[in-house]
Amino acid sequence: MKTTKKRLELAVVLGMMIATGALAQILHIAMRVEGMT
Amino acid sequence: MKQHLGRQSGVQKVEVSLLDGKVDITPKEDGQIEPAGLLKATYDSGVSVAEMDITARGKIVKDASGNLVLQVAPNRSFALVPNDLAKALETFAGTSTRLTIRGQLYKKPAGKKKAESSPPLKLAILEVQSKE
Repeated sequence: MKTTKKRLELAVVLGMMIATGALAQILHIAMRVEGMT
Repeated sequence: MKQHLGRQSGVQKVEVSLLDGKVDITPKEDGQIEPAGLLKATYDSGVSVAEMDITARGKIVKDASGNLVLQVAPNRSFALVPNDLAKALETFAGTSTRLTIRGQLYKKPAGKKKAESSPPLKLAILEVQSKE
C-alpha cells in the first residue's frame, strides 16, 4: 500500500516535470571542429 | 576546449576526439544547455566550429509569422529551415505529438574562416527519429 502510494507520487512528480519542460529536451549535441591540436 | 565547454551551464559530459575533430556533448537533465553559448565557448577556446548537430525532442508549432518551430521547452524553441522534411511535419503543428528530431543547427559558411556575427540559429531537420 505504502509502495503504491510512493509510486503514484513519483509518477505525478515526473508527469509535472515533463509537462513543464523540466526534463532535458535537448538530448545530444555533436560538433565537428577545425583547428584543434 | 573541453574545459571551456564543460563550464557551460547544462553540460554534463564532453567527449573530444582529436583524431577526427568530433566533439560530443551530453546535456544535463536540467534543460539549461544553450547551443549558441557552446558555439561561442568553442570559438573562445580558439577552435573553429565547422558544424553543429543536435538531437532534440519537442512539439511542432507555428510562430506568429506562420513559420514552423520545434518547441523543446515552454521558453525554448528552434526555428526550422523550411526543407522537405520540415514541410512533411506541418501536419503535426499545434498537436501534442512529441517528435525526436536530429538536425543541423549550425554550419560554417563556405569560404569564411569565422562566422561574422551570431545570426539566429535555425534547425535543418536531417532525420525524424520518433513520433510519440
